[in-house]
Amino acid sequence: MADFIPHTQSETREMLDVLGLSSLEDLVGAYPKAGLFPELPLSGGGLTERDVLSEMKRLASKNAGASSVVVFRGGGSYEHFIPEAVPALIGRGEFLTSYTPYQPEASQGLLQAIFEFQTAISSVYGMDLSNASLYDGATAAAEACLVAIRHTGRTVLLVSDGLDPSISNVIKTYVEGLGGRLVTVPLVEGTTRLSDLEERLDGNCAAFIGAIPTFWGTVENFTGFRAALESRGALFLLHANPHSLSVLKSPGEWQADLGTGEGQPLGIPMMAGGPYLGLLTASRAFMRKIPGRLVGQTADAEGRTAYVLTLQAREQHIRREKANSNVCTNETLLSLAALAYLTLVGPQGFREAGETSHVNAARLMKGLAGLPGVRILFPRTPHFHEFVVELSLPARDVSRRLLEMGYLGGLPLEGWPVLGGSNRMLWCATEVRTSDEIRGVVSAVGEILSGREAR
Amino acid sequence: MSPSRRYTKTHEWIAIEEGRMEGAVGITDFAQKEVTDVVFVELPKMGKKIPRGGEIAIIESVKAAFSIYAPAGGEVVAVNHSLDGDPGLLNRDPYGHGWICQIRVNDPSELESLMDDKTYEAFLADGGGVPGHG
Amino acid sequence: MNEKTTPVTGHSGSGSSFRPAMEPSLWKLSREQARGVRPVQDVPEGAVKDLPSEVLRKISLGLPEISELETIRHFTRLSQLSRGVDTHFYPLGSCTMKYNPKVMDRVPALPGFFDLHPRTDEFAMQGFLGALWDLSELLKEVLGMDAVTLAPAAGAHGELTGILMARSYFRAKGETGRREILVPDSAHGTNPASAAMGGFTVRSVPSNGSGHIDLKALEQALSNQTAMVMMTAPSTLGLFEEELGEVVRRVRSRGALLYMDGANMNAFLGVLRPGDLGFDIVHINTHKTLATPHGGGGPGSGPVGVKAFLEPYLPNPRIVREGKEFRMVDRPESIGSIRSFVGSSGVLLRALAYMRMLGKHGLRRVALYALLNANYLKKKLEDVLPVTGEGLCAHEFVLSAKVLEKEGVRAIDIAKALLDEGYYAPTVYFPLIVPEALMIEPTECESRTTLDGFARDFRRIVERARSSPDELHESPSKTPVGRPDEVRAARDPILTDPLRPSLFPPGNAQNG
Repeated sequence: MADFIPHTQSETREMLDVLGLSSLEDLVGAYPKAGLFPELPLSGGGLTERDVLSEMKRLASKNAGASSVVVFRGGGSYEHFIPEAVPALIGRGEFLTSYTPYQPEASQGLLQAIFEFQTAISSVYGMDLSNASLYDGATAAAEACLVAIRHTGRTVLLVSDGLDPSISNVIKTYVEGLGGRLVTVPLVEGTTRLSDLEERLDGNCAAFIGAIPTFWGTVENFTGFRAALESRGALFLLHANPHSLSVLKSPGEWQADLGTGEGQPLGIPMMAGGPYLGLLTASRAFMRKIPGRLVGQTADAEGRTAYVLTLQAREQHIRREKANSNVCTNETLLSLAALAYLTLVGPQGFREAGETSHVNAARLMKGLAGLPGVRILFPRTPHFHEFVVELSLPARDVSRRLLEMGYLGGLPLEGWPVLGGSNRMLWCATEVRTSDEIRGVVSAVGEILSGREAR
Repeated sequence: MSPSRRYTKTHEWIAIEEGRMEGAVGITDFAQKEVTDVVFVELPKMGKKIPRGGEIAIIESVKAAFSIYAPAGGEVVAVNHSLDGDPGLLNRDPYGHGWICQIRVNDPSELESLMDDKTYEAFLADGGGVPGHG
Repeated sequence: MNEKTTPVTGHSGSGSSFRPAMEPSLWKLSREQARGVRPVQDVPEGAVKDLPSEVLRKISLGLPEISELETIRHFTRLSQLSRGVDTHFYPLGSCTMKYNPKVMDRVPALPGFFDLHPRTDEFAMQGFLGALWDLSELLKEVLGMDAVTLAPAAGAHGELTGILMARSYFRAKGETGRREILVPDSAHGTNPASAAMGGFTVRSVPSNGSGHIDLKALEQALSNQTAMVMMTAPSTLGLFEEELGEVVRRVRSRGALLYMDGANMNAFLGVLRPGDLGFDIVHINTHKTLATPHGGGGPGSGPVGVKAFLEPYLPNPRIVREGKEFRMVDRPESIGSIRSFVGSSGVLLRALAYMRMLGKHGLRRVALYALLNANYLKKKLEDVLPVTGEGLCAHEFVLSAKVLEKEGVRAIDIAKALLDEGYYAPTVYFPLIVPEALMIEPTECESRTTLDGFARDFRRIVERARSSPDELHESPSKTPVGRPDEVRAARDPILTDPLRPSLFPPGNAQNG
């Protein structure tokens, strides 16, 4: 039987004897009697390794993963190049099977790696510091909003329509307990205007949160936002795709108070939506206000450099209901993946990957724009690696036909707010797409729209 | 111990000169020993109005954070910013340079129910408890 | 020739001869223009010239520049300066540091899972949605609940989910006066923290001397303002409430909900079901019990099971089955969404595969052997230090080192001495209600030989605490560093590597 229990029968017997018990079942003597040993819908004896893997393979094979289709879809999760060394390194048992490093002397390697992650991520975001990770990008943005509400004692959050609507939904869920309320700042030609922000900005506003790039792929110019917000005592939050920050101006350069993001583009597989990596960076003024773990550098009594979890006094296990947040588990293993990724590709490779994504998306946009029945939204607004198109056919149908032709095309935007619409699609190309693949998908869309494609 | 200090059961002190309305607030020597090495003090903002028993500051050690409560209701009129750079002052000189802030008291009669030196010492000798963990 | 093996401070004082060398930081290793892996062949000139200058990055990226092999060696050395279940016995109470089968590492790595875009059209991800459906159906049975959400990313996230659901439920019933959540003083700190995040006032309920909830105190705390009572079962002392039935009855009679923190699932897997005990909401931590290694602190996942009357409030999206098709839908009464996408899929798929692999009997054996090991080890240690609670424990137990006060030895000193003996440490100073607590959870995966060895070494350490306490204060001496100066770390925190060059070009400290 596969249950990973090492005891031999005689050991079990002897251990029970030590306890003066006659059977394993006697161990639950102090348990409530209601419904002990329930019937479960599982085979009694279980499965072998081979059987369980073939069962899971059967389920896996029914999905259109990137190994079977060419991905032109983003919208919060992206196919990027992942060096083989990344999974090899994070799979090392000392990392993989360790706990949160509460005993620093026995966890120096892990602590140093987290410290290096904090350094690398704060560098990419251009901010003073980073925590050791949160669950995902959406919860990181939501936690940043909670910091703003607590810091200012105010409850209104101005949310750019450029922010992923599914992230706004998470923020809404998170801030409700503290009485938070969301007010949207609209997009004009795909960008947020300073005048629209100023119109909504008053003494009740805790913060404004904008996106780099927007969910719709456009790149915003936040000039003047910091000054406007500061003059009304509100915080400036920017949610940024870290992949884009190799090219685009970082939250730190826009003088944001907190910068958040989804770390998935940094060496983490799409994995059907998780686990991902929540990034939270901040200026030093917020060092003691942000949620999550932080690793600091110090020394031991002999003067050796040492790393340790620090600023823990505000965390839930000590401060309980007065804690900065309830976060306990984070995404350390994935933060190691992001650090290994950034180290392996280095600054030059990181920039080249970002530039190539941009170039590929521009090529894709140009190709699609040339098709009859395709209209690009806001072609004159700068885009990074995603853009919205309007089609002459329902986007869901187009997506279905593209999948049959071996492409995961743009994201159908039916039912989405802001720039959503049943004939609209959000397209994406990253650095992994080739010119042939881009030509291929453009011609496939052309065939579908002209009703010529082979069925 | 200065004769003009009055103490709370949660180990704060307030020192107000006879006939004045303003005085410094801090934590007692007993409290600083219980807290151990102070690593950070979250000071109140100038002008903050606070009821008696309201949270006026938070002090952090490595392992815990403690709320500091106002011994009397009033308004914050001065803040000891030297604690920003040197929170250890609170350990080294809790009744002197380690003061936290000054408040202008709304109702001086609130001070009457606080303990004087002798009562506080007796309170401690009687096992007066530890500062409330936050 | 190179300094790479020299510690950053270059200082190795007295008593450090046993200590392995620390690893220099990435920014110490960095050599200008060195390159590792190339993500792309080449980039066309002027790749971003179509973007306006004011939106382009002007500051340096600040990333280290080193080769692939140097990267491999760096991280491999770092791993060697850390301990995991794969290398050491890890009796960290309340964390369930058990062996997570290596075959489970393969499951989320299968093509069709690891490379699946979460916004793939539903018809093209039926295998994945079906797997999540299967898992939630199975968890319903294992937990004795009517509906399950797989969305929460961790236990505390599951708590927040359950608390927000309670809020929505009472709002829908018009009982908005229920603003309080009662939490026993022995609970995990996440319980009160989550309750506060959900906008509730937290009231702590004291435990009695043996660690059980004080019924009188509970009765006094309950009122028509009580929304929910959160309990950990078995408790953080490794005990089931003696009068659980009575607790349930009283909470019910006041119209409040009963929440079970199921973090200690390893103690009841396949043995009893929270739903049968009368709980309305339960969260579990799949990374503790169902085959996801802790990864240095995460990822995890925290599915939540509820009784039928709470189902409408579960987070969006919900996975539903329509005929043979699986779909994701949003429900109007839901608390909303609590994260990106549907869940921590990679973690959830492991949980499904693990339960299938073990089967009904295997799951039950997990809990029974977790209990056997905990009770056996408790028996071997109960004359060494006092144990909290009487009779059989569940999957863990708590010792108190308070008796060593007169020698000046504290729980932390015992923990550090254990590190030198080649173990990871128990959980110390938790639960808060036991002075100088040492919380030990051996899990079902440790052999009797390991437990016997640990008991022997533990006993010797406590003897040393009595004979030569100063030695313990100086431990650990065989680890890469001694006890770090935490006061220094917290007073003026260094949170990024000082060796990283400034990001901003000289003379241009800020712009924007």
